[in-house]
Amino acid sequence: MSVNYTTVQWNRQKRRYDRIMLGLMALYLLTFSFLQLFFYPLISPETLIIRATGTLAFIMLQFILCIGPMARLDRRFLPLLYNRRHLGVTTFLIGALHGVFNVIQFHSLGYVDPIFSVFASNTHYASLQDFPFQVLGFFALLILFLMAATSHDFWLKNLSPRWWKSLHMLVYLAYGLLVFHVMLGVVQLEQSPAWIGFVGFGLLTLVSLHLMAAGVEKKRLEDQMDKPAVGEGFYLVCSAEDIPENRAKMVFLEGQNIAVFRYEGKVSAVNNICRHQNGPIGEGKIVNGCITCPWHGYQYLPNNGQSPPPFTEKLETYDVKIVDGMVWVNPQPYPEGTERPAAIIQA
Amino acid sequence: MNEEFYIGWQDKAPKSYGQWVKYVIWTLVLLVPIIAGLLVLNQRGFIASKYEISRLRTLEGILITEPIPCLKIPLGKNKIFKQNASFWEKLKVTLKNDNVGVAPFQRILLVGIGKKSAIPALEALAKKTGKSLTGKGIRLMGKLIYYDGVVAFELGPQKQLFQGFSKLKDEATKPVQLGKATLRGEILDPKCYLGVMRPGEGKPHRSCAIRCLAGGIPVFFKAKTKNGVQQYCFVLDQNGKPINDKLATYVADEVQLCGAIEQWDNWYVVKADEFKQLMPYWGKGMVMCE
Repeated sequence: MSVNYTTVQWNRQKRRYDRIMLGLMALYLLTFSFLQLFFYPLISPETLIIRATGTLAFIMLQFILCIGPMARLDRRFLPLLYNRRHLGVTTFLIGALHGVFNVIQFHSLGYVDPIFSVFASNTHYASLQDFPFQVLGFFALLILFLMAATSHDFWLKNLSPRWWKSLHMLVYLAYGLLVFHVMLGVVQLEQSPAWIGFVGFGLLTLVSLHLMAAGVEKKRLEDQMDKPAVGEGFYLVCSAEDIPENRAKMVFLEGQNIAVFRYEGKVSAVNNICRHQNGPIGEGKIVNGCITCPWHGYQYLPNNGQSPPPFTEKLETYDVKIVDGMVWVNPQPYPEGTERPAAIIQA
Repeated sequence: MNEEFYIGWQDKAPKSYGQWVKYVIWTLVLLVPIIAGLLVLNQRGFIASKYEISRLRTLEGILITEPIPCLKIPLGKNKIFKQNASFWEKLKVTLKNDNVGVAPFQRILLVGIGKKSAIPALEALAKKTGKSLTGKGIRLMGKLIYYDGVVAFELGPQKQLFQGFSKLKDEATKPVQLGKATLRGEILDPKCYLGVMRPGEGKPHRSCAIRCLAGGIPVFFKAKTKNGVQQYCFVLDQNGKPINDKLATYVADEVQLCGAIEQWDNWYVVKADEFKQLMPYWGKGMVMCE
């Protein structure tokens, strides 16, 4: 969380994250280059750079896309999610290195502009097998550039989380383009089952993880389906005892995604969507009196949905009441940051 | 419930999270070299082509500018360039001329800097010297590119290119007619394939080869049989003119060419009157045209 925009708001975990990321990247590049020069010393330096950076960027993107569902399936992966944007920006930079070397190598020093050449050299656009695969890589890199350029919280705030998230969902399109970029490009030259298997295994893993995470999410949503209303617009949610201390019960009521928190003998309800990156507030915890989002640690006060000063993020709040130990919530939202009295749990 | 909760901006992650992340990191430390190794070891390798990128040499020979710019270098009475005549014999092409497979001259393909033909640089040189250079003995500076007995020469910078005339006289050598044949193989640009790029063939190189052919670099053909015997040829149209525009679209595909085969000193040239894409590659390499 920040009040003013800074380039990178460093903290100890981000620094460690980046050091480990760079270390693993160096390990890959050094291993790839060493083995390449040892087994295939005839490779040209340009081809070595193109292949090392291309494979690394693809592997990194694959890993990035796996982090989300892995964190949904097992919360212990959340530290990988925390600084994922640095991983994303670095993936773009490695991919850009690959792209620039390709354009220099294959398209420069001719009679036409190198970028124009990317689109106009191979014109078999109607053929799957002969499709100009470099064009696919170009558009994938363009998407990664847009994501990297707008990765900062400045853009998140100004584009709004909804639009920002929509823009960043294009990463799946970029991944799809890159799968075809690889299959219609280098795989057709190498024709090795290992390369095909590598891409196929990655794709299968990614799809499986997303389906598993979707299954878990579906089950959670089914558990939160609308409860029967009882008078004055209040819905029965659960027993107060069913909500662990400093944790929440998440419910969908009349289209509202609500997190009902229990803390210090009280219950409050706020909107379940974090204002930072739409994280699931209800999977968070109350830490030092503040609801804390599990994704990036954004915080809100449970009684009014406001981030503690000087921060300015705000959530909608809801009326809550407790009758005979049962929690009832009115899904009519109050404007963001509106203070609502917490319901007291009777001893 | 005292379940641990992870917050990224805190100095330390809870113990259970930290321990798990350590497992993940060590798994990645093991996996990363394995993935790199698998990808490297499953490549098909690279040919031993050579581009003398940092070495300028001077070559002396007789300049030919059309249809394929080259230097003809006499090999001397006792030095005869032996060609791979066995390729044609294996494919049951009747070699009627006893001289097929040997040549008193070695032709060295001339190419320009980048993806460009040698012609503009040679025309500028002719303008500068005020003489037609075709058929003259000449010394040129540039960089050698070679593989498997085929040599190209990238012309050096314009200021250093012309190193003077030589006393060599052109001895016109007649093309040897080998008959009409059908060849199967891949269309390439010779500059990249012979050494400027490794690999200089296949789908990833397609756009580059198209640019080279568009720049006027002659069409080069790697003909091969199904058991891997191969032979290189330059490709012209049936009238002996460059055919780059028509063949550029077939680069990197398996292609069948049909036409008259000629030997020009140490080169083979196909004067193609038919060409089509083969998919998938199924050919036996070469058969006589019907």
